[in-house]
Amino acid sequence: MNKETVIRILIRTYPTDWRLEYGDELTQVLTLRPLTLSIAGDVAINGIWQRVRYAEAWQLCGAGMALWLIVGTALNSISPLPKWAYNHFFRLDPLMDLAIGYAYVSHHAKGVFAAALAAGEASLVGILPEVLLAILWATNLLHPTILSMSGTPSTIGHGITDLCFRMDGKMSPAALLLSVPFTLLPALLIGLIGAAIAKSVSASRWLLRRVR
Amino acid sequence: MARKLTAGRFSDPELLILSSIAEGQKHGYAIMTDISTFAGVQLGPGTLYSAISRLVEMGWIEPCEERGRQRPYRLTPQGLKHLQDQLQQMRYLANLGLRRLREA
Repeated sequence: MNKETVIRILIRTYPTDWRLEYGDELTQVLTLRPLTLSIAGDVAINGIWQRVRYAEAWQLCGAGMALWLIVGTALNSISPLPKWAYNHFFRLDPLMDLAIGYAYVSHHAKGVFAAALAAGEASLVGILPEVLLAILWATNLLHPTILSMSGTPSTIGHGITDLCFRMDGKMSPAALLLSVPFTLLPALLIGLIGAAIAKSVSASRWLLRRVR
Repeated sequence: MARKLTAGRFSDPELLILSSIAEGQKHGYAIMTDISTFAGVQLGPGTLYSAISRLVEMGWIEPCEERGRQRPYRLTPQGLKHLQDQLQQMRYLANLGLRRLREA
């Protein structure tokens, strides 16, 4: 891989808007200097940071949910979690969807449907690790362990332990992929509820001000 | 696209860039080599351009007319005021610290 290709890849770590504004200049500076590992690291880390700065709230929330799922999967793979601990990794998503719905209306002054959509988008980002797991499983690159609900490991593969489908019986990658719409619909609904709560709170405040 | 625009902490790269541009308009590479000369700090290109973009968003520096692919930047009046405030604060702290060291 030559220097120009590496620079192009590094510049791609920045968000599009940022690249349009400063991409050419940064490319020029990188071309003028020897491209060491520390310089490449500096550019990549700052690129990711700019992506965080430019990200929408739902993207950050979704990334947080995905990270939470990865942490849970990693912990569950090291040692099967007790059911109460395991459930904590599922309780976050509805709460996050509710918070997104509420915040989009109360803080970002968005409409109810935009708020619900943001919750849905966040939940889709949140289950990306699951989708990736299903794809790896379907292509025979990974064989996850499925744990039974009673807590006794019922191994159908080896390696990573799937976090989301701790259930009795057999599980397939296709079933895992089919879970995507079943994640989206409740998220939209919960986001809508969050938005409705925000609207109600706002209306109550307005009413209280009028009464006073 | 939402862009978080907070003044934030006036961290070192920003101060170094403002101090460099205080001399006159410079493009990114010139800022980097100037900082390396006067402060002995090697700013990474990623750090440099992240700081430049923050300073532009805060309205403390602004791009001048482009010269090829390199665009020079200059201080705005707000940027100049910020730099003066920060340097005066640093001078006050330095004087205070030195006085206390002498008295100790």
